[in-house]
Amino acid sequence: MEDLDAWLATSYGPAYRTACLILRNPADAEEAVQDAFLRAWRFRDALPADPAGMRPWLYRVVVNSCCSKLRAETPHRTRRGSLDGVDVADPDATPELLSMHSESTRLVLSALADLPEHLRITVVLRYYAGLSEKEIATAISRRAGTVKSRLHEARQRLAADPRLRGLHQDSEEAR
Amino acid sequence: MIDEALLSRALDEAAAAYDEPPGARSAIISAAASGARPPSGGPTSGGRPGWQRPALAAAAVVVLLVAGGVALTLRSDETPITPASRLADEFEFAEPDSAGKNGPTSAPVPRPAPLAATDGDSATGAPGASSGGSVARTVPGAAVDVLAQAPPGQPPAPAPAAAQASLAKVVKTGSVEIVVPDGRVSATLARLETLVVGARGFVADSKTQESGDSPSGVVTMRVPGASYESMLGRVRALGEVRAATSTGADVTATFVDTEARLKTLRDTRAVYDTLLARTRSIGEVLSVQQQINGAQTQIEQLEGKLKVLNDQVTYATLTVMVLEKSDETALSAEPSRIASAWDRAKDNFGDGVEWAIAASGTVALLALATGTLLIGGWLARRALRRRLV
Repeated sequence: MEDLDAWLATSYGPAYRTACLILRNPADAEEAVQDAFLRAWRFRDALPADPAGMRPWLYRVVVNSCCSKLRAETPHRTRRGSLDGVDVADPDATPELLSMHSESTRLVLSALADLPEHLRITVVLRYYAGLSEKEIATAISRRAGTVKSRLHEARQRLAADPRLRGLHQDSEEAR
Repeated sequence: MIDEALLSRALDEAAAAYDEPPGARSAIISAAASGARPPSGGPTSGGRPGWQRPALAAAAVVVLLVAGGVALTLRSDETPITPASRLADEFEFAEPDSAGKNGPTSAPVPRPAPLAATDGDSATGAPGASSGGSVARTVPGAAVDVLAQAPPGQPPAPAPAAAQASLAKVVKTGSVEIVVPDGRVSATLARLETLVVGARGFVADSKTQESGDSPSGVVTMRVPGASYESMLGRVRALGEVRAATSTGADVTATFVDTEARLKTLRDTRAVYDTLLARTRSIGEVLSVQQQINGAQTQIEQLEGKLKVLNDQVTYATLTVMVLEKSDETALSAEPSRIASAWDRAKDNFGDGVEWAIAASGTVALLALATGTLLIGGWLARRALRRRLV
């Protein structure tokens, strides 16, 4: 149990926040990460011996748990951005997030939320978790080339998002 | 292309807002110690619900047959051979309970206890903590009376709706994307500013892009909370609504908890002030002063948080994006299942091309080896014939 405690101390936080960014719901993220760690711990004898291989492997477990949550919850989730203009409550917004996120972060998160699931996961793993393309490929069971093309497509979609145009301008002016 | 540093920074900031749930780690440890098991499947399983797997497998078989998919079959077996994938494959079969035969049925994984109950700190402001019960416990006045009237050992009766509504502090946030006829972006933005002023609000941020073929504008307006709905209706009447979101987050519990913590800290500081007046030695003065500084820092942080919450409750935030007809294609609607399938098909096609290129090296090597053998055999045969002749 001491090993698990040490493992959780180093890996729980990043894994939980990654799940939060993917699921946009802290309660779901907590459950997903708990499932992931229990799975990983149960099969600890077969974990990669190489510490470098552990990280993408753990993210693979976490991502799969998140995907499981997303698919299980999709029918119950409120769809955002409905085309008929009906106002819908965003169940993912929490008071803490509302008070802590800056406007630019909200815009980026909003644009990120509109990305398809497979692109959003790739973006979060690359730009938050800091995984390399090869590690992401391991984490999502795809080839590195697929990861590269997904990242490219995600960046293109975000760049084309009208909500982020002002941010691009500010960023370019800052340079 | 979007600035990667900006994206990374925004994600870092967003992630930092998610505090680790207290007690979550210990819940995992206790679950692991008690032998509780996650839902069936290997550690890397969980991508799809179980009922979809047979359907997907059947669909894959049909596709393979129709397409004469020898190549596709080879492709499907050609996942990257990494330690992780090898482990994943092993784990899919390593699950003792997958067939429901081995071992007793395990207890369900205990759900982590609610944050407030786990660490005893109701001031975490954690999501989900803002229940009616917590409001009734902490709000002075009518809500406390309701609690006092509840029979012992039973939950308090819910407060009257009107009383709850008057106590509730709600942060309203929304965004609307509207499409206006070509050449009407500037006029619409000007109209928006007029509406904001009329509602006694103000424009917090405004960005317009008038260059290029697709002028657009984004206005972030702050309007009094009471005027939010009417403002939303007026904004939507300005053009064709392509997307709209509206959020109302109840921050009453966070607000009340923060106020309670602030009051406690102020009382504590007052006690320290009294102690400071009575201290004689320099050591005592320094020690008490240190405590006062710590309390003061926390007081200022909580006052800042309250100020932000007050501001967000008083003024709702409404972000309006105005686009021209010609630019509306830039809006990304949520992808349909067909679109997702198309995305996956593109991925698989790319994977196939990548595999074919990778396999070409092996094919070339085999061709070279075969050619070398054939030429060698032919030369040997010719030499043998000459010798025989």
